Order: sequence, then C-alpha cells, then structure tokens
Amino acid sequence: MKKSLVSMLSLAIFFTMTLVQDKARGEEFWDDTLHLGGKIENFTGIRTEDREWQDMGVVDAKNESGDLSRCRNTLQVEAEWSMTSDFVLHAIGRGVYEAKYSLDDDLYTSKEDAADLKALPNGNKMEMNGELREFYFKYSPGNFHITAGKQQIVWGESDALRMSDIINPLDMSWNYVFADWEDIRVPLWMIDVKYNIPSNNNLSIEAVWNPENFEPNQFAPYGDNYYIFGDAPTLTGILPPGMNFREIFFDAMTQAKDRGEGKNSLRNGAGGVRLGGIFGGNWDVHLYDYYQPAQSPIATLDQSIMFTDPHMGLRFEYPYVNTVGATFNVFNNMLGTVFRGECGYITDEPFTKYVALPLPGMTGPSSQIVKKDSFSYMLGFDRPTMIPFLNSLKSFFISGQIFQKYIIDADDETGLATGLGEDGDDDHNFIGTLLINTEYWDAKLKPEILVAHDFTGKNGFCKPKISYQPTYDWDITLGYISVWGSNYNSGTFGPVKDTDEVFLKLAYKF
Amino acid sequence: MKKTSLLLLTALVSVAMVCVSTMALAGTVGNYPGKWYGWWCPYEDGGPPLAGVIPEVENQEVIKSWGHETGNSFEEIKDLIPDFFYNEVLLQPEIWGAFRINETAYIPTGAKPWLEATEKYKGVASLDEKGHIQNYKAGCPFPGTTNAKEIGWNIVKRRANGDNIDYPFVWQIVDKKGHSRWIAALNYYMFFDGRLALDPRPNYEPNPRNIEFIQSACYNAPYDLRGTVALAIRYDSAKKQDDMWMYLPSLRRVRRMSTAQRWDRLPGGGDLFWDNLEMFWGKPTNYEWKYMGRKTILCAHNAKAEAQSVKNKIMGGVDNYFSRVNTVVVEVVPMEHMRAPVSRFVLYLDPIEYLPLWGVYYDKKGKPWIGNLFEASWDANWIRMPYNMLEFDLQRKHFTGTYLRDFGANVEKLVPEFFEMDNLKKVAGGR
Repeated sequence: MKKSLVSMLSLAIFFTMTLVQDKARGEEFWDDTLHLGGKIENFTGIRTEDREWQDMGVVDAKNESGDLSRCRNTLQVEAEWSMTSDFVLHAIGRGVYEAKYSLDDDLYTSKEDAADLKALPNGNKMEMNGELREFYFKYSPGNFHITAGKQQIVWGESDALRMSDIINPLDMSWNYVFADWEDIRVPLWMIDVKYNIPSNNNLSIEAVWNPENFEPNQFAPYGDNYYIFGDAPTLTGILPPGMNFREIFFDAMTQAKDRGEGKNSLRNGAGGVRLGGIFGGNWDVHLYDYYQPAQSPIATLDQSIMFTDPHMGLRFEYPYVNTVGATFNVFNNMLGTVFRGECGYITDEPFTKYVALPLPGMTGPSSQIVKKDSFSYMLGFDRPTMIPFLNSLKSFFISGQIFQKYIIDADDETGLATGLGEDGDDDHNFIGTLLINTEYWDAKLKPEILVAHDFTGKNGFCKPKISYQPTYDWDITLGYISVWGSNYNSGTFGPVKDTDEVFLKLAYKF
Repeated sequence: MKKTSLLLLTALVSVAMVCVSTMALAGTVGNYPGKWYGWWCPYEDGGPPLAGVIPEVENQEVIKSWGHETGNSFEEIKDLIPDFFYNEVLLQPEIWGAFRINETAYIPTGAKPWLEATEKYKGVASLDEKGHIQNYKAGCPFPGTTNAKEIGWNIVKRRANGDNIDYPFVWQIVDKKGHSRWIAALNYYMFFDGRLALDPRPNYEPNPRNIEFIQSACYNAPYDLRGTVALAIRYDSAKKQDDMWMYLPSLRRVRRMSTAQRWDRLPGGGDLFWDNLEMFWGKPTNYEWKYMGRKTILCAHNAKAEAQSVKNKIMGGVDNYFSRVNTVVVEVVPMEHMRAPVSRFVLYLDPIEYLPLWGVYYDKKGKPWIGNLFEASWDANWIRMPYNMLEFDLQRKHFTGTYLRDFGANVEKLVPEFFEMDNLKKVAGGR
C-alpha cells in the first residue's frame, strides 16, 4: 500500500510539474490590488543514526537508521490585499500533512494513533495541521508605520541562533532550529507602531505591544525527532501500574500553558520599545527593551504533595523577564566587510534548579524558581569574497559569528539547569558559527554549508546542502544535518543528538 | 483513514497546482500583430512610458532594412556593426534567433533644459588629483572632451534620465535552449546633483551625508524575491564605498550588505554585474580610461519605446530602429583591486549625451565575452529610456534582457523620505 501511495503522489507531482513549469509567479486580482502566491513543498528526511527511547514496557522503542525522519507536505498560500495605497491586508495560511507516520510502519511514536500526537505543550498536531499563520494589516500614514494582527516581528542581527529576535516564540517540534526562522516562529497577535523621525540620521522609534496573546516555545513530543526533554524511565518504574511519569510531566507542562501563566489574558501581555538611527555616518544602531513571559517552561516540584498531587507536585511556570539590549551593523570600506553585533541583558532570567529527591539516587526540580541576571552578546561579520579559481563569476558569501552568554552569580547555586555547557548546568557558553554559500550555473545551483559549534558545551551541528533551481518556481534541495553533543544535556544541540538525517526538499513556488 | 487522507492531500495538491498553472497561462502574452516577436513575460505587461512617446520617434521612416525577411544581408553593413555582434550574433541566427536592423535618420536629443545646462555649466566641473569630479552642477560636465577620464564622468553624470527615475523593469534571463526566467521589480533613483526639473536644483540641499544618488529596487516576482528591497546610496566621494541595505522577507528583517565586490554577479542568474549595470555604473576612479577615437556605427540611438522579446529564443530587441552615430569610443580597464573577471571593456557612446549604446567586455584571456546593446528611446519630455537593454554572453550563449515598463521621470514623490526602508517595504509588497 505504501508503495502505491508514494507512486501516486510522485506521479501527481510530476504531472502537475510538467503543466506549470516556468509559468506561475502568483496572481493578481481586482485591478492588481489582490495578490495571491505561495508554495507547495515536500520535505523528506531519512535517519542516518539510531535513537533509542527508554519507554517503560515498550520493546524496541527506537527509531533506526534508514527510518523516515520526516515526510512533511506543506501547502502555504499567501494573500496581500492593497485596500488603499496606505492600507494593506496580509494573510498567510499553512496546511501541513506529515506522512511519515503513514508511510513508515516501523516508526516509534509515543501515541498509538499518530493523529493524537501534539507538539509540547498542547501545540500543533504533528500529523496534520492547518492554520491561519499570519493575519495582519499594515497602515502607513505619513511617517508612521503601523502593523497590527497576528504577525512575526524580528529584531536583531544574528543568523543561525537567536539573541535579540525574542518577540515570537519558536515551534521547534518538527525541525528544531534547523528550519528557516520564518517557518518556525510562532506568530502572535500584536501591534507594532514605528515612527520615522525626520532627521539626517534615519532616527526611528518603534513600540510593540502584545496585549494578551501568550504562546510558549513548542517542542517535539516524546519519541519524535528533536524531542529534547530526555527520558524518565526510572520514576515511572516506581509509580503504581498504569501511571507514567512521562505523561505526568507533559500534562503538567500543558496545564501550565492553560493555567494563569500561559493563558491568553491581559495578565499575559508583553511589549517593548526600540530606538534606531545611523550614527557616525556609518553605524546603524538600535537600542531596545522588551518585557515578556519566558518562552520556555521553568519547573518546580513541591515535594510535600509529591505522592498526593496528580502531577506529583510538579509545576511549570513562565515567569516574566525583561531584556534590554543593543544591536549594530557597520560596513568597513577597507576590509569590504559588514560587522554586526548584538547584546542583551536579561534581568531575573528564571531557571529550574535540580535538588536531591527523597528517593535513592533521584534528583528533581526544587520548590522554587531561581532567578539570575544574564548577559549575552554576538559579534559577526559578512564578507562576500571572490575566489576566482573556485568561482569566477559569483562571490562566496562568508559569514561568521561568535556568541557568548554569561549567567551572573550562577556560582551561588548548584544544580541550575542553565542549558549551557557540557552538562547543561554551566554558567557560560561560547558558540561559533560559519556560513558559506555561493551560486553556480546562472544561480541554478546553490551550495551552502552552515556549521555551529559550542566550544564549552561540546555540541553543535553541520548542515551542508545544495539547491537546484531549474526555474524560479522549482527548488530541489538535497542536504544533510549532522548534530553532535556529549550527551542529551549538552548545550543547545546536545538534546537533539542522534538525529542526523539526509533530506530532500522539493518545493514549487507560485 | 490514513490512505484517504493521503489521497485527499494528493488531489488537493494537484488541483491547486493546475489552478495556478491555468491562472498564470491566462496572462496577456504573445506576438505583436504580424510580427515574430512581442511580449512574452507571463505576469507583467510591457507598458508605455507614463509621459507618452514622441510620435516622430516612434514612427520613423525606414531608409533600409537588413536581416530577417528583408532579403538584404547583414554583410552589406558589416563595417557599421561592432565585430563582436556581427560575428557572434548576427551570423548565428540559429542560436540567437532572427534579427532585423532598420536604418533611420539620426535624431539628436531635444532635451532643451539639459542642453542649456550643458552650455551654461561648460568649464565649471573639473577633476581633482584623484580623478574625482569637483563642482559638477548639471548637464554634461565635459562636453566634447577627448580626455578619457572626463568621458568616464560624462557617462555616470549624464542625467539624461531626469532628476529621478521611476523605473519598473522586467529581467528576462534566457539560457542557450531558449528557456526563460523572469524577475520583475520597481527601480527608483533620486539624484542629488544635475537636477533640472525639480527643486531644489541643480543640487539637492541640504545634503549633509554628501550623497550623489539613492537607488532602490523593490522586487515583485518571483516568489523568492517578492518583497525584497535593495537600498543603495552612492556618495560623492572617491574614497567612500556605496552603502547598501536589503530587506529580506525570508529573514523578515533588514540586512546590511557589503558593496565591496563590484564585479560580483547580481542575484538571479543574469549576466549583470554591479558595475556594468547600464553598461557602466561604477566609480570612474576605480578604472583606467583610454580614448579610442570616434567611429560611425549603427546604433539604436532613437529606437522605439517597445519591449521586444521572442518566444523560446535567446535574443530580445530584435526589430528596432538603428541610425548612424559617430560614437565616442573608450576602452576601460578595471584596476587590480577591483578583482574583475573582465580584462577590459570597450564602450561606444553617443557623442552628446554619452549614453552607452554598444559595449563589449573581454574575459581575462582577451576574448570577447559579454556584449551589450541598448535600444534607447525618449519619452514625450525627451527623457532617455533604454527600453530594451540587451546583455548577451557570447561564449555561453546566454542572455539577459532588461525591459522597461511604465517608465516615469521627474516624479514628485521621489524625495529622500520615499527611500526610507519602511516605505520601500510597502511599495514592494510581500511579507
């Protein structure tokens, strides 16, 4: 059956491909005031590594090399309606069908029916999901630029990792942080007002207000690719039959989202301001401050109700944090290089603290969230470089970055789950990234490599890929993602180690 | 249930793709009546200039025609055509497609304000020790000069396109087999000197950042580029490089770009480099200039304001008016630090406006590599408009046509505030 389905899908795609080649670039309606466009995409990955799960009572709870890691089919439709020259309505709808659950019977999933799988906590369905992802209007009277609705707002200068790009949470459930950011940011209902101050310095002031729409980061469910919360077999072992600590853990997380901390209400608003301008003739500088709930859950455990509470005293929260920061970019004439940077100071960043439990050899969250200030920065460069013996017509875009984060006075506490360092409990990290790409064959062939390595946490990833674009409509990308880490706690990428995959992406854009 | 879902999805995908295909095919494309060429871009019309055209230019009396369906061989006019075009293009119609040259009388520019400014400011501009222009006001800075460096400045300061330009265009990129890819964009220029129509003039004041011009391209299509905005600033300085920012919808943010590699291919796969836009768009101080004398050749100097492309063939601009022009010829050599893939290039210029009409770029081995032909017209106000800018890779048989549509100049809206990135994002559309 699988073979016939795949053949049918392939034939359908091939048939339509021959019909539409070189023809479609979106369509205009209503005297060109309404534009429709979008893309259809199949993204298939095959594991090149085994990942074993420690699910109690399940034999062979693992996904093996050769299994499908994804077969994600996406239809995205984008609409722009210019109601007047200053008032434009935008909408982006996205429907997704993840066919790997149907096509690969050997896949391990934590739910018997894949239709029940949801991103954590209580996020999008993993198998089939449709949503109006973005829906906003842009209104531009004079020097004001107002955008209101469900949208993405991006601040900052970083690639590959986020620092000042903090406004929208991420959906890391289906491709962790390896997808394009715009495809995994979770759009929020917000109002963005920007005023360009008439000046010679391109001064601007921007205010963002999210009145009540809280969404946390979304993570893969247990047993799926890019699940990051580790295993919990031992606790399950001591629970009465029928109880599974994993389910209790996830349920507690979901409860937190649906409880006061995570529920959409005016208590969960967020907002900030950003000032920008060009100074010294060449320095493009922004200062910002943003106040919002933390995007990832912080755990506490009330041991006094551990054996009576349905969640064993486990509770998750999303405490508020304030980030004040700055970004810059500058072009250096002599070096032909753009330098860019960011920094951010977070006041009272919350952390889960792990303590010994009254069970032999067991640790768990403490009863209190620990809050520490932290400071992060990024410095990067972009240098298009001609390397004639490799490519005489197109430069190589070479871009490097370093990131560091320090948690101030973290030494005062032990067992802080900082997510930094080799065991996820260090007070600092140091990450380097390098991106190189170029174009061959009249921009039909585009090779690229992106590498990130956390030197303190000994984890990272490498993503080489090559895209073939015979027309502007079609994009066929072959790539590989290799992730490494000392263990499942090491830094940003260790939690998703053992998920290496080779992937093929076929996209038609219209 | 799963099988049903998958079948449903397959059906939906197919229906969506076929619908899109059908919609796209409904575009207004096809040959002009009775012609073997027309407008074949499937999603943008090739519109006339906003100010209208000059009827006498559009309907010239043809003295004689050569080439396609005329019975006259190009050999008769071999000496009036640059060698690279005659040998590599006209003699190979099976590769490049049919071409016709229609000779008409030379029509000099009637741009009175520009001609008067040239006369008024004659002798005012000069070059400093670095070869950078000083005290340029308006019109042609060095009319009639044989100093090659001054000719370089005549090219970049020609300002024959007006004080500003609202310049929608389509790039058609065609490979050897005749397969086309199209990019549509809105291009805007605002010049801070040489201004003749709009106040303040001739120089835009105040200008504390010493800007020579601002240029922006707002891309409409294809999907990957839609909403992309490129904003560049050229400074009136020999030392200071251009500044450039790009809004990239896929990143949803503005990115600062390095402008160091002037001989880097433009994105999209065409045959254009940053410094050979409009045949020469660099800083003259980065090049060695040599005056090669005058040569009378056939040029599309007073061509029709009509975008011409041919279905499934490489060449565009295939049936236009050409007149005999006593061109100014310069040879230009990029300096070592430019790291250009060309060893030199030769430009054939109109002797009054210094508009490049023909150009040929030689590879590092000295062989002709990229050819250029501009088919230039005027709008009703004698504003210059190269309606077909044809760039062809002679070695690989590859072509990039830049076709104007709805061209406008001296537009009131193009003031510095227009070039704020937020406003340009609005103009570009997209995410």
